[in-house]
Amino acid sequence: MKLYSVMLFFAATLGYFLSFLCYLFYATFGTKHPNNGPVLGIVANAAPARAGIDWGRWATALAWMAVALATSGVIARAIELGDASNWIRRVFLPATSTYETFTFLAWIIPLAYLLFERRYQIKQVGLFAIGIAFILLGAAASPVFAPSEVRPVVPSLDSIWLVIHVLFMLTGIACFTTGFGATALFLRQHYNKAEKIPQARLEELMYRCITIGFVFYFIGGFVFGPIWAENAWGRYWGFDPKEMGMAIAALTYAAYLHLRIVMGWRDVRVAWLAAVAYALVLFAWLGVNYFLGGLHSFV
Amino acid sequence: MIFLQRVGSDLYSFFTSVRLAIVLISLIVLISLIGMFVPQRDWTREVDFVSRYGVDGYQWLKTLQFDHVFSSWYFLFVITLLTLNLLACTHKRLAASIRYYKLKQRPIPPSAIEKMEMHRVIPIAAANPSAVQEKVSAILRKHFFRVREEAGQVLADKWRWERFGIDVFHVSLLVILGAGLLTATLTFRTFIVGHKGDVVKLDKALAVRIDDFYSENYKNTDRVMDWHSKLTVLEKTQKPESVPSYEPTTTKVIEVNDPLAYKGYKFFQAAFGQDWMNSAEVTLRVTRASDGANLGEFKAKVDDGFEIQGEKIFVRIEAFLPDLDRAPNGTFYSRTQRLENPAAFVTVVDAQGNPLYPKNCCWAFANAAWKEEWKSLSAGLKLPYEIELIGMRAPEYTGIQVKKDPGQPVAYLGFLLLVTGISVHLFFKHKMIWVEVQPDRILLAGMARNNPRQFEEEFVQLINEIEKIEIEYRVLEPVNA
Repeated sequence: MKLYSVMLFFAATLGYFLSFLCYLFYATFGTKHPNNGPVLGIVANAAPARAGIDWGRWATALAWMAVALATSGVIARAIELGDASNWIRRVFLPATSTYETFTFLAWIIPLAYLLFERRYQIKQVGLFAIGIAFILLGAAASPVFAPSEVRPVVPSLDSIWLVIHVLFMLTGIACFTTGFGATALFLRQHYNKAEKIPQARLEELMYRCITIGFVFYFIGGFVFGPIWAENAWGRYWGFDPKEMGMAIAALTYAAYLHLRIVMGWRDVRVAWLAAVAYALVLFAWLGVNYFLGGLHSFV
Repeated sequence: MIFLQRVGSDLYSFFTSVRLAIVLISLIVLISLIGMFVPQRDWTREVDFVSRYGVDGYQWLKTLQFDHVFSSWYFLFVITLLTLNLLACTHKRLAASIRYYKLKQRPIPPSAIEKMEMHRVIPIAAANPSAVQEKVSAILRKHFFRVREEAGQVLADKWRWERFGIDVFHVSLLVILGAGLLTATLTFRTFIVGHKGDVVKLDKALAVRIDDFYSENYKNTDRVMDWHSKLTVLEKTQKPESVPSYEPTTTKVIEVNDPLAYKGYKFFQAAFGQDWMNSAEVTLRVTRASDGANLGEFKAKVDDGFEIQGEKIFVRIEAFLPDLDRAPNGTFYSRTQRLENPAAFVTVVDAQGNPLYPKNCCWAFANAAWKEEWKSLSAGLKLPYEIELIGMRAPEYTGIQVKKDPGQPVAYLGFLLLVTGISVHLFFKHKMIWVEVQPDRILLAGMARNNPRQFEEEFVQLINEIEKIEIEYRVLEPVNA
């Protein structure tokens, strides 16, 4: 069966790859970065003033193009999913199988990153975010690991809460991913003792990403998840491995936020904590399904 | 009294410490990790524990309460401490928020305004500074600022209450924990294995009847679209003169994700399938061992049996397992509810009721490999009859989960507070502005609690609007800060 979504995602894969190369050139050759200074000047969109090719601008433009392709891919997939389910379901979020979740994240992670980029202009982080999107689409292209076949929605996923809960969780993960890009760069610069980008700005990007991500992840996991679970399984919280994985990750980020805000920690210690929290998010998202199982194993 | 006060204040400072919160969160993470990797007894059977950890390992798990960490004493202890910690911190922060809310914005000397991070100096030539001040105030009011004047300065602020957002969030966590406690202690829960026409009494006044149930597939596929059960709630009539009887009150076809709610009860579509474990009917072929004579085929339900007239024996079906397997410690159990390795456990008694078979014997199999294995296993027993399982049937059933949870409204209140608190924190920031109009310039400074960037755009816009006031004065030239 010919699926338009699959072709669109192939095109997006190529776009992310080219964008990734530009981010790589930017990170390697583009030493100058816009120094925004304190407040008032921060909404500076000015690209670094330097001679030669402005790799950063190319990278961003290509990333937006690839995101546009991925957007249409996600929409096409939603339509295909609806078609396969005889259109008797309410709303379709194309996140019901490994293939769909991976492609969906390959849309929302770069999108979240690009929105943060507009404000913070730290394009080195793009190397990570766009790279992740490329890897996700690459993994989704494997017919063994993530078959792209469209399957109708199973009864347990037939709910409006599929859209709300999953959208919130994945948006949270997308913000955390950008945050982790900043964390990794922060740690790298810390141990290499080479400060190409002011550590304070990286730290702020990390903190902002985590705050926004935390809001989505926390509400998605501790409010919308329980409401759905109550509706479907008759209990809010069942200490299911997936639920606990999410709770652990969220609590670790909560610890990070308290250390950052209340105790005022802004150094390598909280950066490590953020890195651990991100690892826990990844485990809750993927690890639980592959190693532990439980009620959330739909793939 | 002084001693008690000291103890109280020590306890308060102990429970308000963020360090304590971090330690407790770490402990919860640690315990939860155990609970994630070790299967929990709520959804794991003993045989599965034993086959995974061995008999000794399982004993250790039980001693350490690892098989139910989330209801272990140490987990509940840590959760209790965290709740106290949260309670104390909420109190402390709330008190600070109230103090903050009551604070009054004070004028700042012009020299200090110029030193603030977010400030602007607009040069003007105004004949009437107080008229300019009026204009500026009007612009600020248009942006929903509360404006007042003190010592010749315009002081404006808005959204001072947003600091309560995080307090509301913390309170919501307490409310949700409270709801959890209510739910855990007061929830009535039962599971109905329902067949068509069954009526199940729930309490003195309510009963539920299963009118029908069916599964529906996607068109032209064998994939299940949904399982449905048509339920009717029956309620006892209250009329004093008549004999009380159950009357139907409401009927609904429920499906997965779409329960029926009535007077605090909720009915969920929880399972669907064939009721092998409880109501299977099996067909057995009995052969006499001594001469191999076929005595015939007999049908019977679980917990029932049949007589073989000529032999003067009675064969009883004690149990039926749809997917028999053997645990390392020797017990037999059903691995799944699917019909994969069906087996019936039978006993045979003579006319006087004396068992002809040894205790814990014997099995009747359908699967060829198991039949063979059973033959070799039982060879030494010299059983008088050979019994084979040749057919089985079970009625379809619908699994309805019934729940009455007094914690539900509290939980929803908590959810509402949580989302409200976070939204307030996310979308509102307390913003303050100081404006001093002097004959030759306007001095402006702005501040936002915690996150100045959220104010930046509005601040720039305000300056643009103020620069456009051209009636009473003329902007000479914009000077960058």
